[in-house]
Amino acid sequence: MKFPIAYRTVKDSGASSALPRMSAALSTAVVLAAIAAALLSSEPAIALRAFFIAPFLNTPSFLSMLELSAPLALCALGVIVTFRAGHYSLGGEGQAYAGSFAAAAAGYAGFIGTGTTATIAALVAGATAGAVVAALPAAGKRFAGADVLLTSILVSQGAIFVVDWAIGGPLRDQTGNLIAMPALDPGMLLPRLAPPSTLTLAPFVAVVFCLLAALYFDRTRSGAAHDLYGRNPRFAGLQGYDVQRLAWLPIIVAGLLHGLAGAFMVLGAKGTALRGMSGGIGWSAIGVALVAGSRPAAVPVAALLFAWLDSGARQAAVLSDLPPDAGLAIKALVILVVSARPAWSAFRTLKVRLSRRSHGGNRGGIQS
Amino acid sequence: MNRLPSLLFDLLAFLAPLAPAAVGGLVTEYVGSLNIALEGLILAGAFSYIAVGSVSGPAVGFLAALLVPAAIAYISDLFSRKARADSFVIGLGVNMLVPAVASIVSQAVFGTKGVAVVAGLQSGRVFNEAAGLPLLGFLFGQRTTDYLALVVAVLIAVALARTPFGTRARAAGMNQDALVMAGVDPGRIRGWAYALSGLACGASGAALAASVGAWVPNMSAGRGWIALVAVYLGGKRLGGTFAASALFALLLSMATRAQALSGAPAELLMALPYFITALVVILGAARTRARKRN
Repeated sequence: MKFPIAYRTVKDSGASSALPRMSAALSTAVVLAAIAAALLSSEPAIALRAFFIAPFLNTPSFLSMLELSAPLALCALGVIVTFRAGHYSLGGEGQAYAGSFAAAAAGYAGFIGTGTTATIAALVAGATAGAVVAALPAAGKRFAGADVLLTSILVSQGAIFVVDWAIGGPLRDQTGNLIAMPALDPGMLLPRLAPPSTLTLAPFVAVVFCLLAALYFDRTRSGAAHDLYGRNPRFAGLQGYDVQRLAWLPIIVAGLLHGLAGAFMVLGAKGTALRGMSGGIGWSAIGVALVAGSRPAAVPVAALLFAWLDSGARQAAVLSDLPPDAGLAIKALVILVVSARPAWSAFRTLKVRLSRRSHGGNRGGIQS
Repeated sequence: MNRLPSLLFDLLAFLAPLAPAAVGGLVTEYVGSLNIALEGLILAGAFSYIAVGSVSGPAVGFLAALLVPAAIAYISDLFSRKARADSFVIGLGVNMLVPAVASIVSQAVFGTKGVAVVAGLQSGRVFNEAAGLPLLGFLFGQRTTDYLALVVAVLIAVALARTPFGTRARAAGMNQDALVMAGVDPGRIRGWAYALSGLACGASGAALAASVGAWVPNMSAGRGWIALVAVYLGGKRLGGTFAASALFALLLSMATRAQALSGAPAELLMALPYFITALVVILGAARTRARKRN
């Protein structure tokens, strides 16, 4: 007779070893990219070269990939902040999109001027917009105990419609065919650190945020309370931690981070807000957080891996006939593979089972 | 008053792709698992209908729309159980994988990763002659695939409410040990539940694709998430899930009507049902919390 398995839930994933996960993710990505190039392209050699070598071939390509990873890292950090508090917010996509829109709107027609002050104002506007989209789910959790998973996705979807309308309607640049807002004044964009690459300060900001978050979770009492609340809110309350604050604050912080990521996209590589520009970043960020084992310090590397998949797939699509969505498919498969328990753990479980059977049969109960 | 039949007509048209997915979400809730892959499974159904239908006709296309998502859901659950992977993350992976694969296959089959229109796959209206009936006309003017999708939803609901499978599914969600003691493998029940969930979502996807006779990337437009909300809003019960689906369909049909009447931007009106539903979820949670306190 088969015995029930204690199915893992997302709460079990917590902060776990990042190195094995990232090794698994990297090796899976490499194998899948090679398979995709071989199967989906009529020029597999060119596709392989474009996927694996082109992003690293010259300094500008690599630095642009680094820039691409910054918003992803910030969003993934937001995911970790909410998930480690036990709130499964899926509203990142709408929060990042709202952040992009607000940052572009703040600089629209230059009514906040140009230069560093305007750039900072646009970043603040973006972060605030992300927090605003997160506010209703946070309030719902705090005052009504509403499921963040449901409210966050609903509000995010609604926000996406509203931003779609604003970008494609009243704030659209009527002079171009692109559904986008007018390009921002170059004076308010983040300065390019190494032209012709798109590198700005964004990746460095993301790394600093990740390190600060790592310090928060690993070295502070508040971080420990945060983790404890995520695993067992009632126990955290019994320990005297401020659980009411933990019921809403992580959701808002995640909104700020997603909004900031959206603002960086506008003030960095894009230069304006385009319709649909978030392009699934909220979902990819969950994958990045998973690959990083919910450890903030590992996020920049995991984000770089995903940025490479995007960048490599894009280059391969341009230089060969590899479908551009191959990168997205590979990312999804990496997430699936990394979510599985490592093989050695499965072998260990099998060994225990066999051992139990050889010592007088199975004792029953739920397998741990 | 003249607008009521139109509103009800739209309501039913919106309900047809939503209710089956909501019932699909409920099936896995019965076995104690949150299936967040509903969105991806709807897309899998829609694409299968168009891709297979373009070769073998709408009937085989509809069958493929049921079977392909069912297989995807079953395999994803099998992977989750055997690899002891988090079903939440697996669901996210499926939601990312399906549109990407659909786009790649669409490029190969139709030569485009965008909208693929296939002649002959837009569903007809089987009872259209009765659509002019007073009061009840709105029941008869729907597309054939809408009726089929609703029949799938009802059949799965009956399987949950009236068959041993339904009882076992609930037992799997409540107390696996009891199920084991009765000699039933909970993993197998869970697998079937996921397959049914995929099948239901496939019906939703087919109804969507057949309404326009085309594959449109991301044509599910958040319906999978709404279906999930309907499950929770309906208290994880069959009647409640159908009622919550009908409520959301009503909001969508009102938004569509309002757009036609007022000329307000479509995007803003389409956003309203999502915000309203979020508020309803929060108010429902507040009510539940107040009841518990009392």
